[in-house]
Amino acid sequence: MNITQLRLMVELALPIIIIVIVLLELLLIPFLGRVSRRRRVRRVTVRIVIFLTIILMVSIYPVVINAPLEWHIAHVFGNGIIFRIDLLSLLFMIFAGLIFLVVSFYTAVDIKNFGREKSFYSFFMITYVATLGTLMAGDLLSFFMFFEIMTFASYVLMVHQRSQNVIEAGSIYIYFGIIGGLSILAGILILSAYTQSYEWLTLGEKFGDLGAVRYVAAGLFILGFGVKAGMVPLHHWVPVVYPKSHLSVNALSSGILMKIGGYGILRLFVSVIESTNGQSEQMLNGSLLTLENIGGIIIWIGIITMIVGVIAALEQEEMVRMLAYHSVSQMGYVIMGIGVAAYLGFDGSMGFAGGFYHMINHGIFKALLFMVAGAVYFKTKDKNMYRLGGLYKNMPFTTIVAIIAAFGITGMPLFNGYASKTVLHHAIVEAHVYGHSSFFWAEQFFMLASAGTAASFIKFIIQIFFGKRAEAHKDVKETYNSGTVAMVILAVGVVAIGLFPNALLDYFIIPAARTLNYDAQFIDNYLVGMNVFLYDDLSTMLPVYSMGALIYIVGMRYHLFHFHLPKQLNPESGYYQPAYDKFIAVTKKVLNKMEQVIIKSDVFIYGIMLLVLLISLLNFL
Amino acid sequence: MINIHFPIFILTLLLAFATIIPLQKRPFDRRFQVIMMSVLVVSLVMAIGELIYVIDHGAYSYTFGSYERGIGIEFLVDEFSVLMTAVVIVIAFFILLYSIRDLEHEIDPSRIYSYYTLIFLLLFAMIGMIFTNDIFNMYVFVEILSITSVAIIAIKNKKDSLMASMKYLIMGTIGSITVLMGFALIYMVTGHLNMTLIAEEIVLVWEQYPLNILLAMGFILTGFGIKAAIFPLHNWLPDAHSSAPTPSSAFLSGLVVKAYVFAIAKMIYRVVGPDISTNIGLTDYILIFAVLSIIMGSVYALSQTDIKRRLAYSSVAQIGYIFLGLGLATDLGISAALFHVISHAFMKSALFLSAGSIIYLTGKRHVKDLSGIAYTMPVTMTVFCIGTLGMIGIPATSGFMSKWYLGLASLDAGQPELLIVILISSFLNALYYLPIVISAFLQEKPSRETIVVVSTQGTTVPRSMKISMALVGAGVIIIGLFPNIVMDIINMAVPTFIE
Repeated sequence: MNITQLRLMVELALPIIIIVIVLLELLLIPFLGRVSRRRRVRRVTVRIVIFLTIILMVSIYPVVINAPLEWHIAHVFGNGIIFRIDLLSLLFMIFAGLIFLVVSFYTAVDIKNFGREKSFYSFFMITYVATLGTLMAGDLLSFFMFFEIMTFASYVLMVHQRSQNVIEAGSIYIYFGIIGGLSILAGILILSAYTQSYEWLTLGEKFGDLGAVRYVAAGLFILGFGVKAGMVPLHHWVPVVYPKSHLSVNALSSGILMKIGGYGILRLFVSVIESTNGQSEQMLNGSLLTLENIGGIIIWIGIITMIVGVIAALEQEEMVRMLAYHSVSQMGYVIMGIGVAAYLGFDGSMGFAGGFYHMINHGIFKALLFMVAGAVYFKTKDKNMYRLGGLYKNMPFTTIVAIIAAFGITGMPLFNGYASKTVLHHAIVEAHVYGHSSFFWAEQFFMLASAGTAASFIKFIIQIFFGKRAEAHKDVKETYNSGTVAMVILAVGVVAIGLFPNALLDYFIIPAARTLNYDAQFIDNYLVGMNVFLYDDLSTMLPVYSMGALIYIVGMRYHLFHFHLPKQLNPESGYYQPAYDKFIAVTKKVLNKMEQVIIKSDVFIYGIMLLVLLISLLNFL
Repeated sequence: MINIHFPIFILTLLLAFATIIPLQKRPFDRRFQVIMMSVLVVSLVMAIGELIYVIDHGAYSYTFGSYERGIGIEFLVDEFSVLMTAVVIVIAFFILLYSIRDLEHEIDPSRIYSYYTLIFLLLFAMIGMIFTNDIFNMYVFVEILSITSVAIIAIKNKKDSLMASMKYLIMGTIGSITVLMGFALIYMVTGHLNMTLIAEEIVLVWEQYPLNILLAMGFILTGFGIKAAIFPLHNWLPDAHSSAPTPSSAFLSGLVVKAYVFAIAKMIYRVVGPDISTNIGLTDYILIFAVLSIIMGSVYALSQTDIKRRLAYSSVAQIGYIFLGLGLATDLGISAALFHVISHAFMKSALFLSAGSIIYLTGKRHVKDLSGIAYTMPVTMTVFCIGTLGMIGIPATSGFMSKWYLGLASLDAGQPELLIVILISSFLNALYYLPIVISAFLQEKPSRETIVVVSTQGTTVPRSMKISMALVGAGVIIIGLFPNIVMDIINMAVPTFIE
């Protein structure tokens, strides 16, 4: 069998091959690990399987760049399901594979002391295949199936520590997930009922003439995906569950799972734009108007998300919680980019590129930051930033990596965050120029959020790695293990993308934007050959960093970082469990009272019925 | 051509076997068990043969003793009734396989033969009710079914099950009388007992007697509503289902209730007809009670702490779904309702059987006591988990497909508010089912050792129970992934409901 035959086979059945490989691995996992030597084999097989799937996915890139691949599988769910891989999903799939692979290196350090590796790696692989499935799905039903499997499997990963308070926190994750899933289901049902189509591709065709229904459907979708993406005000699960779960799971969740929410919203808008080919003028205008209205709202939601996230992050003492809020805040950037992609209609390619690009970049540096936090936590057993300090002497490698990641997230030129933030900045400026003037303020908020991020990470780096070292941490020593490998890979990624920001744009994002019906002239003018290292763009970072430094100094000087939200607004105060208990208690009380009434009224009804029966019998006689 | 007699053969076989059982002198041994299971296998084979015949040749009516229609009793053998029969027999097979070991600790050994007599009579009545096309004949089957289902609760001979069966008996009798009254009123208006003839007659006369027909249908719906446990008439159900032996609960919740629902579907659509039903406002009432059932059933279930009671109240909510589909009075609505009849039969049997084996092994019924139980009973809790996911409506379980079809049907009928009801109820389902699963799988309690020690039945669930549970659970997933197995047949049968 030569290479071409092999590739043909892959082309013929890639989704099936991936699913089958992962299922085989799932069957294998329980049999490894009775002996501790085999546990190592298990970890290695997990990595090999993920690596294999990455190779498979990369191998179809030359095909996908010409035309999307489609597979139909009949009979499942009645109408059959469709897998469809275009450039957008392929890049996400490869990226998901890479994040899972890197995290699987890190898990070896993280999970080892907790045991139950069998269940962890099983659900790790299930989450992996479900994530890929979500991205591959070409129809709404299979998309929803994989999405739900992903939610449930990642829930098990989240609560892997399994103590009482972890499970309570996890409940918030799962119930938020279920609410999100139900609202997506409602959206799918409404769209399917009114358009009679189950495919992403044909979904948008009839979108233009749906009337108010399209807003309802889109709203439900955004609500559902927003939960997963941590969109304010649906972000409550993020700060609650993150500190309670393993750091590698956090890296996974911020690295890829939250992105699936963003991907969902993006896919929704993109499929509307994609299917406008050959539509009547009226329907086209209807679609575009809807996109514009929804996109405008989404941009503002994104702005609110980034501001709320960054302010909350500044107030945190715990590393993990701070990073969790930064995940929310960074998803705000992504959501804003997606909003621009919809708001400007065919001219939204800049927003598309920005949102898309930032999802990838954020995945990389946020996973890295969680790993850094983990490296510090494993050695010092302390998550509180204010109690740490001066660790650069003990952990030089971690310090360097942390600084690289911090440069990434704050948008330092030559690191990856800068590239995508610049594209996003262009996008919001375009929304202002080509769209409504109110987005001028959006841009200001964008800068403000960036400054807040800078302040927050100045604080992060200084509090942990510089300044005064606590006595207890004097003997902390860095160890090099497979976790280090993971961090190196990600740090190299941050720097590589930062040095060559156009590589991803040229090979994936711009071709993807072209296939999606975005205005070709617009793409040629603004995106192709885009140079992010121009003075105009570089100079925007200067006020950002100086303001960030100012915020940091003022905040530290006047103790502004210890301000806390009132209890009712603070998601961490754990009011969900009492609310649930109270709800149950109240229903019980009400129902006990009602029970008597119901029984009495039942007796009454039966009495009347028997009476009628008797009377009518008498009538017959 | 012998296929056309299969429904009668099934009924005779079941009845004959039911009458033979009490003559047994030998102890309850392997030989009897094999014979019993093979009777079910034979009837299943016949049901499947019949299904193939009906799919090929279409529905037909079968008159007894070559009397003409209207004088003799008539069976209407259509696609759905045969499918339903097959499902009844399949699930009955699994439940009986489960019951062989489970009954040992649930009821007195001397009563085991009586129990199986009752079960076979119950199956006989249920299948008769599914096929019959004659309202008086239906009444006879309803009575047999009511009495036997009371008896399989009371057979446990504990105080609470006797109380529950007494309650059920009284309620059931009121229901039966009410149904009979409704039938009498219909006979008064039309002068027929055969459903087809009634339907022909009613089209002509309904404008003259709209009130009579509404009253008659009111009686019939109330009567069957009591037996099917629609919301304000559900009082008997939680007691009965929770205090009965586990196989009985699974029978009652998974199958018996559905037989009444199917009877209601027949009465509304085959006898009165969808147009007239909508015209006299019948379907609106059904929708109101369906919504009430869905919400209140879930809310009640939320406040229960006994696992079996929780499942029982959840049945009330699920019956509400079926009524919701029926109340829409559209093709899609009816097919969604019929699909849910079958899907719920599988899910609820899976749930009751797995809850039963928890009780079998540990004797614990309180939901708070089930923490960490999955460590000792992985198979049982996996089946429970599948049932739970089905109830919440996670894709790849049959419950999702029911919700999907119901949602599409309610949107198609122009009633999106019903979709909201379905979603709220799904969330409520998640609220009361998931904590059980989560604590069973994820919470570790120091007492997990004691769970094993307390048990008097050995340390594991018997293999026959495990196998039957696992197969029912697999059924949930297979129907969830390939709903067309069921849905194609239902779609063939729907035109016989709506012309």
